[in-house]
Amino acid sequence: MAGFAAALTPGHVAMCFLGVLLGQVVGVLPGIGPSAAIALLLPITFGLEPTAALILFAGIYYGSQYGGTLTSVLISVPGESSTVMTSIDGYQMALQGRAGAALGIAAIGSFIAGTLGTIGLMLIAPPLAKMALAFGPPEYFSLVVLGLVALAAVGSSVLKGLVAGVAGLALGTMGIDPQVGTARYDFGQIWLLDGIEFIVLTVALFGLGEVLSGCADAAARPVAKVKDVLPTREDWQRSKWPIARGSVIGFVIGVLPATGATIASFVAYIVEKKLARDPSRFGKGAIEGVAGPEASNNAAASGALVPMLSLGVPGSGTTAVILGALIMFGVRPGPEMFTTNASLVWALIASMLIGNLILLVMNLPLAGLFARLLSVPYSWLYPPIIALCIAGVYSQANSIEDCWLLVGFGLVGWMMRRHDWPMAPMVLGLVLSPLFETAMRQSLTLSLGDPAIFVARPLSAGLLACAALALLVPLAALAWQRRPSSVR
Amino acid sequence: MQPTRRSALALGLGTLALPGLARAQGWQPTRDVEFVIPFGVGGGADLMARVIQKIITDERLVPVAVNPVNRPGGGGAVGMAYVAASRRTDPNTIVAINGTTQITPIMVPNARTLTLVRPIANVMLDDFLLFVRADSPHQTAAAFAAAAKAAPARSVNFGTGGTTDQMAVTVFGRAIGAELNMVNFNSGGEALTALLGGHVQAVIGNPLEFMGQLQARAVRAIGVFRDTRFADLPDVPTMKEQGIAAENFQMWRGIAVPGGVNDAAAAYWTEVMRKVVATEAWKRYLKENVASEAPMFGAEFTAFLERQEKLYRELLGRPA
Repeated sequence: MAGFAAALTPGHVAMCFLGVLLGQVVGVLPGIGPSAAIALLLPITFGLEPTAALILFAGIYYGSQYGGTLTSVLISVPGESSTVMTSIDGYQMALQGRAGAALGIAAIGSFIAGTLGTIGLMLIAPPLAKMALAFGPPEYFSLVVLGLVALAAVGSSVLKGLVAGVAGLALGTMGIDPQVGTARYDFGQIWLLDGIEFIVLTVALFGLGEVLSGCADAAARPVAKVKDVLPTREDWQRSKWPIARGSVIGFVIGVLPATGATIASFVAYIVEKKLARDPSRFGKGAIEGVAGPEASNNAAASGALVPMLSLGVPGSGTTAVILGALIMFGVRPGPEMFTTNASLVWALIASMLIGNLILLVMNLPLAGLFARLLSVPYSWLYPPIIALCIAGVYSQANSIEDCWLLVGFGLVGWMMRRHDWPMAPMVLGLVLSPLFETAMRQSLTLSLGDPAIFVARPLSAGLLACAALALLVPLAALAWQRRPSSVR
Repeated sequence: MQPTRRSALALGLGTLALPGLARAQGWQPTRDVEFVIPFGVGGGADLMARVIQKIITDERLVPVAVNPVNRPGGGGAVGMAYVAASRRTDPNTIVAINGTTQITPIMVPNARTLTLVRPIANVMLDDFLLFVRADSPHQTAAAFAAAAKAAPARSVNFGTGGTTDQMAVTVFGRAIGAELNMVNFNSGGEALTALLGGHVQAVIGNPLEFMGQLQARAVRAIGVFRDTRFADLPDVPTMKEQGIAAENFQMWRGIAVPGGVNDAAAAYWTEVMRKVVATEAWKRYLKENVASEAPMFGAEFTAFLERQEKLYRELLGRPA
C-alpha cells in the first residue's frame, strides 16, 4: 500500500502519463523501439529521483506495446516484433471497416493482460523467477523449436509456412557468427556483416509489400465503410477467453529471460487458432487473432520484469536498458532488490496498474478516431506509408544500404502476397534464428556433441513433445478425415 | 597515490587548456554521440560504458547527448565490425574496447582487429575470480581443482561471457592440469544466469558482474587470479595461496574512436576521458566494483596494448 501512496503522488502520476504517452508514440514509429527511446531519454532523467525515472521508463515500455498495435492494424506495418501476429488479422479487420473494433479489443485485452500480469508480478515473482532459472540452453532450444513449429500453422498452407519460416532462419544466419565471430554470407560487403535487421525485413514485407500489391491491383483496395468504432458485444464474447489465455501464456513466457513478448505473441495466436471452432476464419479478420496476441505481449511485458526485479537478470532488451538505468541511479540489481529497495519496487508495480488504466482511458476514444483515418482511401495513404517505411528503416542505423534492402524485400513481399505465401513466419524466423542457433550450439557443447541432451532433460523433452504434437495432431486429423472418403 | 595526483594535475591543466584548444582545432561533436558497446546489455563492458556515459552527462563534458548502443556478439567482433563498417571516419562515435576485442581477432582470423579503431584511453583493469553456486560442495579453489582433476576430461562445465573469460578458464585449466568444458554466452550476465540455474558448475568472471549475487549469497567466490586479496573480499584467498600456480590475469577496459578519425577529434576525446577518470564518481565506481585504477593514454596505452597482444598470443599458443 505504501507503494500506491508513493505512486499516486502527482509528480509520479504525471511521469507515468508522460511515459505511456511517449511509449505509445514510439511504438507507432517503426525503427525506434522502447529500448532506444529509454536510452535516448536516459541523460535527461539523471536529475530525477530513481523512482520517478523508473516509473517513466516502465511507462514507455508497456506504452510501446500499445502503440505498436496501431500501425499493425491500420497500415499493416508492425513496429515491434511482438505485434507481427496482430497485423495478420488486425489489418484484415481494418480492410473490412472494423479497425475500431480491432484497436478497441487490443486496448481492452492489453489492459486486462497488463493488470493480470502486474498482479502476477506482485504475488509470485520470487518463486517464478527461481523456476525460470531451470531454463538452460537445451530448454531454450526446445522452446524455439516449439515456436518454429507453430509458425507453420500461420497462413493457408503448412508447407508454405514452413518454407517461409526456414527462409527467415536462413536469413538470420547472415552476418557475424554469434558464437565465434566468423563472418558468414557477407558477400564481401562490409555492411552485411551486421546481417539483416528485423525492422528492415518487417517493414519491407508487410508495409512496402502491401503498398506495392495495392498499387498493382489497379483498383485500389476497396475499404468497407468504417463500421463499428468500438468492439460489439459479440466481439467481446469471442475475445474474452483468448484474452484470458493470452494473459497467462504471455506472463509465463515473458518470465523466461531472453524470449519475451515475441514468442509469447505467436504462441498465443497459434493456441487461439488451434482452439477455434472454425480455424479458417484466421487470417481473414478473426478478432480472436488480435485479442490473444495483444493480451499476451502486454502480459509478457510484466513477466519480463520478474527476473529483473527478483534476480537482477534482464528478461528482455528493454528491461536490460531499465536495469542499466537503475545501476546508474545507484540501485544495485540483484536478488535482494525486493527487500533492500522495497519502496522503489512497489511504487513501480503500483505505477504499472495506474499506467494500464491511463492507457485504456486514452486508447478507447482514440481507437475510434484512428479507425476513421481509414475513411481516407488507401491510394491516398500510400505515399505517406512509403515515407514512414523509408524513414523508419533509415533511422534505425543511418544506413542507405538498408533502404535498398527495403526495396528488394518489398518486391519479395509483393510476390509473396500475390502467390499467397505467409510473411509472418519469415519475419519470426529471422528474429528467432540467433536464439535458435546459440541455444543449440551451447547445448551441444554441454553434452559434448550428444543430441540426446534435448530429450534427456524433462523440461526440454516436454517442450519438444508439445512441438511434435502440434505437428502430428493436424496430420493425423487430416488422415482421419480422408479415410472414410477413400472408403466410400 | 602518485599516478592519481599526476592525473589530477593533468586534469587541471587540461581544463584550463581545453577551451583554447578546442577553438584552435575547431572540433566539437557535431551531433549526438553514439557510444557503441560491442557486448550484450548487463555485462561488465556494458555497465562500465553506461557509467562513463552518466559521468560525461553529469559533468557536462560533452555538449551533446551521448547514447549507448549495444552491438553484441562474436566476442566483440560484431560491434567492432559495425564501427569499422558503418562509422569508419565518424568522430561522433566512440566505442568501448577491452581485452576481448583484442583477443577475438587472435582466435578468429577474419574478425576485425583493434587496428581498425584508434585506442584513446585505458580506464580500468578488472580482476578475475572463480565463482561457484552457493550450494556447491567446494569451499575453496583447491578443493574445486582436486575434484575437477579427478573427473573425466571435459565433464566440468564453465560458463563464459566472452573470450577473456575463456582465456581465464584456459589459464586455470592449464594450472590445475584438467581439461574443462567451456559453454559460451553473449554476456557475463547470461553466464551468471546459467550458473544460478545450475546449468554450468562454475564461472570465472569479473567481480563487477557478480557483486549483487555475492552480497545476496547466491554465489560464492573461491579464488582470486592476482597476487593480493581484495580489500572488500578479505575471506577469498588468491590462487597462489591455495597452491594453484595460475598466472595472474587481468583485463583492460578502455575507449577508442573509429580508425579514420582525425587527430583533432582524437585529442578531444582523450581530454574527455582524462576528465572522466579523474572524477570522484569514477573512483567510487571502481571501488564499488573491486577494480583497479589504471589510466593510460596515447603512446603509453598503445605500448601497453602491444605487450598485452604478446601475452595473449603466448597464453593462447598462437604466436603472431
